[in-house]
Amino acid sequence: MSEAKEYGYFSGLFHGIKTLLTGMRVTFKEFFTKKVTEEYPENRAVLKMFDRFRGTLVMPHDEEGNNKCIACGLCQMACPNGTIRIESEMVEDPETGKKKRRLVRYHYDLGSCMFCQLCVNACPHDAIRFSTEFEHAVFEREKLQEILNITKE
Amino acid sequence: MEIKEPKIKSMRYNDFKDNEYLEAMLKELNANGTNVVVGCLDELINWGRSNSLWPFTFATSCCGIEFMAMCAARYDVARFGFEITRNSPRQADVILVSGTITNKMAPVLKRLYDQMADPKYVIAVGGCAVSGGPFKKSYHVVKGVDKVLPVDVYVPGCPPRPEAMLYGMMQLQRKVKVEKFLGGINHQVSKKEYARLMERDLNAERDELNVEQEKD
Amino acid sequence: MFDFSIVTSWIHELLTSVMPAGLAVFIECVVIGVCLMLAYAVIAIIMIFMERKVCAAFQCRLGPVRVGPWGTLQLFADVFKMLIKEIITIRHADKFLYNLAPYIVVLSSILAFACIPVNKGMEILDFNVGVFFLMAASSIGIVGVLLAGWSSNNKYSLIGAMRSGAQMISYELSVGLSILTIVVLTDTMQFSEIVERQADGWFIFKGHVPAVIAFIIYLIAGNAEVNRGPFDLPEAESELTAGYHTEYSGMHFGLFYVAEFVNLFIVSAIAATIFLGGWMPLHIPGLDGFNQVMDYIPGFVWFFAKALFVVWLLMWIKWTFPRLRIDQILTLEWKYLVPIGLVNLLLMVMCVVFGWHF
Repeated sequence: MSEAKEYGYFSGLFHGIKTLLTGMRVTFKEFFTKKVTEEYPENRAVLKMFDRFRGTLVMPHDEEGNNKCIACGLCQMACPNGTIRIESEMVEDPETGKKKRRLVRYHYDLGSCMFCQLCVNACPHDAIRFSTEFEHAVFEREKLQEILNITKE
Repeated sequence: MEIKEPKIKSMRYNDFKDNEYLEAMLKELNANGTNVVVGCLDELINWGRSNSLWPFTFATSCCGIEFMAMCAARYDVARFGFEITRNSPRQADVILVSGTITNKMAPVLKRLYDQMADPKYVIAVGGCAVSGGPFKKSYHVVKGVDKVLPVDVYVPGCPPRPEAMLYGMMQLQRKVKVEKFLGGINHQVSKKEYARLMERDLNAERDELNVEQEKD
Repeated sequence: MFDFSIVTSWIHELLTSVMPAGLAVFIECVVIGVCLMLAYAVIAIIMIFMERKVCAAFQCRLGPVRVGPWGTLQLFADVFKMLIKEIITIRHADKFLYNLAPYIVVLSSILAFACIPVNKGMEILDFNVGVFFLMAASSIGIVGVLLAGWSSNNKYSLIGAMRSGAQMISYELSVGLSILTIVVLTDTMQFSEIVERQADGWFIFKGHVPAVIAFIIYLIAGNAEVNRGPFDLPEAESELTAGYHTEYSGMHFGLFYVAEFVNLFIVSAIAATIFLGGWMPLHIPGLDGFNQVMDYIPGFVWFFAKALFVVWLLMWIKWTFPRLRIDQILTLEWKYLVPIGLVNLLLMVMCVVFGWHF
């Protein structure tokens, strides 16, 4: 174990001054370097998040408004803190007479989501995925409770 | 003079979410009409206030690290003028509640909020402050800081990106610009009310807030 | 060099010709007071803006840029906000002292500010013991700080104020010693005279080694005197929340804040005056053409350039080094700066006696 060097009065003084000047040289060079700040609202047009960034949960719909959710409830069971709540109903197919489960509303609470992606991993049909949108600040907590599916009328 | 849409530099009005809240607030505030002089003075004061919101250094968990990242070189919060973080609550304007608030911390937070000087604002940053977040099922976590404080802006995320927090601060700037200052939030407490507030028993209040006290 | 006393004597003659002399003097005093307050506020705004931009540049980021072009209106927004913030009354605080403390700090700051010669003939207070008066006036600020901590009814504020008080009275000594070194070099204490005598070379060049050492000691001690830079323990956040001004809000806090930055400017301005020649242009003896060109630049431009250069130096020091603990601060002063300052003073006396200076 090496011991710290013991400085006398004058050697300590000069050693101290030398270290101070080294520090000042570092910051002096820093003063003239190009600044790395990304100017956020000004760069919104070109700002691109990396692809795996989890911004918010979305349910992609195709052009006719169909989604791939079959209301199996696996995402609801996988979510650790109850962010997802599925309302579904049993619908009778008029031709064959068989009963099928259909999604009515897909409740998603953005305020309590922790973006762990367990729901996306659990979904058997890739019905939900994360999008990279991150601008969600609102004034009232109720606005953070979203309904992800679009009902065709 | 009517205060129209609040303008934020480099952002369009429609880029912001939740414009309905601001429009409802404007309608309510302007229901009686405003004096021209007071309106102009209000605009000037609100411009000053919205561009100089000094945060209180309050951070409990991971969202605090994102707050530090927001203040660092890459997403510089000093560009907005918010880099002067004051440590004393009496000198701070906005408290960014970042991080999980446990039952033990809640009375401390309320006390700090009470010590802040008006006009003051609260931003709930992160899932834990909005609703308890990952710890929503815990026995010792306050499920959302709005059970303890009146929150102005909610910024969801776990943790929210520094840009998302800057977006939240821009939302707060819009809210400040729309507020009516003279005669609105700058109201004077009457002498009788002040005397009553001074005389009430502070010890009685303190007992309820002190969770470490033995319950008989 | 343009002599400002032409303007002042013209105004005085104009006023005395239309009204009795006493009233003329009274009106002049009021006008000067108003100008002093305005200059104080303007300098504070420039200083705070400079601090934010320079700090950002040293930390590889941009400072305020959104409010106004290049962020220049940022300070005005801060001022508006500070004016309308609630002033909280502390229940068990000593009300008179609590309200008095910020004004004492600002008072000492303004008194010191009034001593600085900005241009030839443009100084407000010009005693023949100007240096002595300046040091006495700046010591009044310590009383304000101690009162602020004591009357806040907060034990941590009191600790912060005590630490700040100990620091400030210790470093007064070093400031005094370094200024005294220059007073020995030139046998006058009057500020306008000190600047006049630097016409053929600034004292930092004339007094070579002892003057340079005195300059460095003055910078360090001046920094500590105004609670800036690595010596801002009383305001450190992890230590005592905000030290002696924890319990102040609104405009009272604004006064402390402004006084800190103007004190920084005052320290730099005195350094510029005593060591770097004040409003004197740079003259190199022998190069007459060069000296002629330098003379065209007005005196106050020289003065502000030098003062802002020293401010930039002090900001460089602040944003490079971590904070010192209170025992380190006092060790630095009593074990290093005072002995070196005394030896330096002796060295300067020997230089003057034996004529070893330019």
